[in-house]
Parts: sequence; C-alpha cells; structure tokens
Amino acid sequence: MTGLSGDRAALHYAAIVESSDDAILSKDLNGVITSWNNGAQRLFGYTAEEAVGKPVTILIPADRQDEEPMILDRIRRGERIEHYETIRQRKDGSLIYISLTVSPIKNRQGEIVGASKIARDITELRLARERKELLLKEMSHRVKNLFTVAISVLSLSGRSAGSVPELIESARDRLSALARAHELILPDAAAAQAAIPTTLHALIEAIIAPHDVRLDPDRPKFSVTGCDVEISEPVISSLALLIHEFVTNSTKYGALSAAAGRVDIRCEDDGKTIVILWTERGGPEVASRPGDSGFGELLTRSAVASLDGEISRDWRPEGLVIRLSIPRARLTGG
Amino acid sequence: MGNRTDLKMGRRPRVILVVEDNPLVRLDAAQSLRDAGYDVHEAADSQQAISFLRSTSAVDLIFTDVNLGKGMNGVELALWALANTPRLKVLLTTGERLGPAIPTALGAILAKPYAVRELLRRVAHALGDLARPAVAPAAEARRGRGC
Repeated sequence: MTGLSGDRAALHYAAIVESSDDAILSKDLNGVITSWNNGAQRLFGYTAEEAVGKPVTILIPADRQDEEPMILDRIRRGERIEHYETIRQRKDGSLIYISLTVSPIKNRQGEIVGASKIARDITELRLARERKELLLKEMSHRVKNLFTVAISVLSLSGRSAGSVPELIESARDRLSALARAHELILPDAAAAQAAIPTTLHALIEAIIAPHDVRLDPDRPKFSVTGCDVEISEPVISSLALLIHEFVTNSTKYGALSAAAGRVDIRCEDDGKTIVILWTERGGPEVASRPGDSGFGELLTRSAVASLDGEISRDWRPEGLVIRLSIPRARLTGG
Repeated sequence: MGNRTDLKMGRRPRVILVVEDNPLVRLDAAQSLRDAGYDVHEAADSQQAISFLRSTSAVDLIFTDVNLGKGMNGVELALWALANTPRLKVLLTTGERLGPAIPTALGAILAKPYAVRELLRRVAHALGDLARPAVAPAAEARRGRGC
C-alpha cells in the first residue's frame, strides 16, 4: 500500500486517522468500540476514554437498535457498507443525520476481527436536500398554476375581443404584465409557502415600464411617489391586473393616448388603508368612461374584490383620477 | 345543459357561488357558468364567501378552490357551508396534485386546469341534474337530427 512498513506504517496511519475531520471508530465483532478518533469525539461528544470499551449501541437511538445486528452480520460475511444514511445519537441525546461507511478489519491471517466505521455528519446536506424538494414542489405548483391562469387570461381575452388580432394583442399584453409582475418574486425554499416580498412601487413600475416611452427625456410620462410598502405574493396578480387595466385604458382613451399626456401615481398610507391615486393629465377631455368593453370593467371589479378594496373614478376635465383603496393588511399579508 | 333547461321548465335559475382567490381564474369560471345560464356570485376568499352565504338562503352550489390564501381553505369552507346550509351542493377544485385529504362527503375534486365542458358537466352532476331523465337540449337536438 505505501512505501512504509512496520511501526512507521502504523504511526503513519494513526496520524492520518487522527487528523481526519471525519468520525472514525472501530469495533470488534461483539460490537464493542475499540478505537475512537478526534473526529468521533467532535461528532458524538464522547471522549476516547468514555467511548472505548463501550458497545457501539450507545450511539444508536432506541428505534434503530436493530441496525447493529444487521451491520455485524454483513461485516462477518466480509461485506462493506457504503454511504448508509441513518440517524445516530450524541452523548447529550441529540440526534444527527449521518452517512456511515463500514468496512471489515482483517488480521494478518485474513480473518475478520472487527469493523471500521466512518461517520459523516450530513445534517446540512439533508437540510439542503429538503429545501430543494420544497423548492421544486413550490415551483412545480406555480408552473401548474401559471398554466391555469394563462388559460383564464386567454379565455377572458377571447370574450371581449372583436377579432383574432385583437385577442392576440390583449392576451399577450395581459400575460406580459403578469409575467413582469411575477418576475419580482422568487419562491423562498425555507418558508415553502411564503415568497420574498416585493414592494408596491416596484410592482407599479414593472407594469408601467413598457409604456414609459419618453419622447422627451425631460418629460417622463409617469411618476410614482408616496409611501411604499412590501406586498405579499397573493395580491400581486390582482394588483398587476388593475394597474395594467388602468394603463391600457389610458393608452386607448386617456392621457397616454396623447403625446403630452402623463400619469402621476401616488400612494398614501394612513396605517389601516393604502390608497393609490392615479391622476391623468394632458390627455383628451373625456366626459365619462367611453364604451369600452364591459369586460375591462368586470376584470377591474374582480381584481378589486380580490383585494377587498374599493375603487372610484372621477373624470375631471384635466383628466381621469382613479382612487384605489386597499386594506393595508391585505396588501402586506400581515 | 345547465339553466337553459331550468328556464324552459319555468324554474328559477340555479345560484352558484364561485370562490377563488385569483381574479382571472375566478372571473373566467364565473363567466363560463353565466353563459350556461346559472346565476353566479363571486367571492375571493372564505370570509367573503361566508358573508354571502349568511346573507341569502338561495344558494344551490358552492364551487370553490381548495387553496384560498389566508383564512379557511376550500375544504373547511365547504364543510362549513354543508353544516350551515344542508341543501347546498359542493364542488371543489384544485391545481395541486395531492391536496389535503378531502372528506368523501365533498365528492370528487375537479382538477385544474379544466375544460369548460368538464366544469359544466361536474356542476350539473353535483346539482343532481345529470341524473334527471328530463329532456335535455342535447337530446332534443339529437332527435331532431335523426342520427
């Protein structure tokens, strides 16, 4: 095996075992611990004095005691056990996930006299695996949900579209708005259901971004001011839809249909309710809501209902003002 | 299918409460049911649903998603509804592959996404309409076509 022999070899190997971070121990065929390295002390909490001479079963939780006879059986047959994932118990009683590799120890005559065990703490690995599982489950659920939502968008857009091109445009528009809104959130593996929240301003900006075409760099079409709050995932779809509807209507009939038009979006927070004020200026004068498909109205009402909110519109001569109020708790999810 | 038969027979339209937290999915389902002749009300969560159910006794069916965000989930809501309005029928739906264990009293779940015709079939079945030997529009049409 190496160029060393006799005592030098023995010392050499002993040094390797001692310097290893892994828990390395050995036992005889009765399951009694015969050696115990520093790694084993660190992992299990027992010193070598405490562990050597004791049955290895002190490391095994009560409900797994049957593992030891099974391991000894295989050792006697000359088998190796590799990367066996199981649970062991520390001196203080706490449990740890470990990966165990057990090999038979033979004497010079080739007889099996015991076993060496290498135990690796895999708690972190398991946690990472669990997080990955949760994440995958969450993602898979979201993807399935996305298809359901997309189908609904398509179906609803089809109801109000007067032609196929119109259907395509409105469906694409809505889906894009939702996509942008959902890009803002990532599932959080540790808290499977919750996601890392985004903010109200970020969401509004994500939806208006494609429409923020500045013909004149000094005259932005949008301003988003006022309080900002973190918004929870469940309300993102509804809010995104609403802002999208406001923008679309404005583009068709309101301020955004005019070169000089602009929209100021202001958020106010009185502690219990968040109010989003959408003020249009510089567009054509409209006396009241033009004959838009009643569908947009339905969608708006549906989204507002989902937020437990209220909406009112005031068609002022200077431009439309929309007041959307939502209970703060609903928005933040808290 | 649906209320067209009811109206033909002089019955009042059936009332369905659709409970779903996503406004698009809810609106789509509600519109599909309205097209089929049902009188449809919407709720975005269990609280809104219960408010509505408390305000009227005329609800025939509650069609609810299992996952309703915060508050009671659809299973709990359906059980509450059955306990408080015995005449009420329920139909549950979910996008999850394995949701919480559904009590058999609540019937088979409609998996999302679903085709509109499947929704209508399941609703009619839950309302007990499919069992009726009544002359359905489809049957009449078949007779007319002589096939």
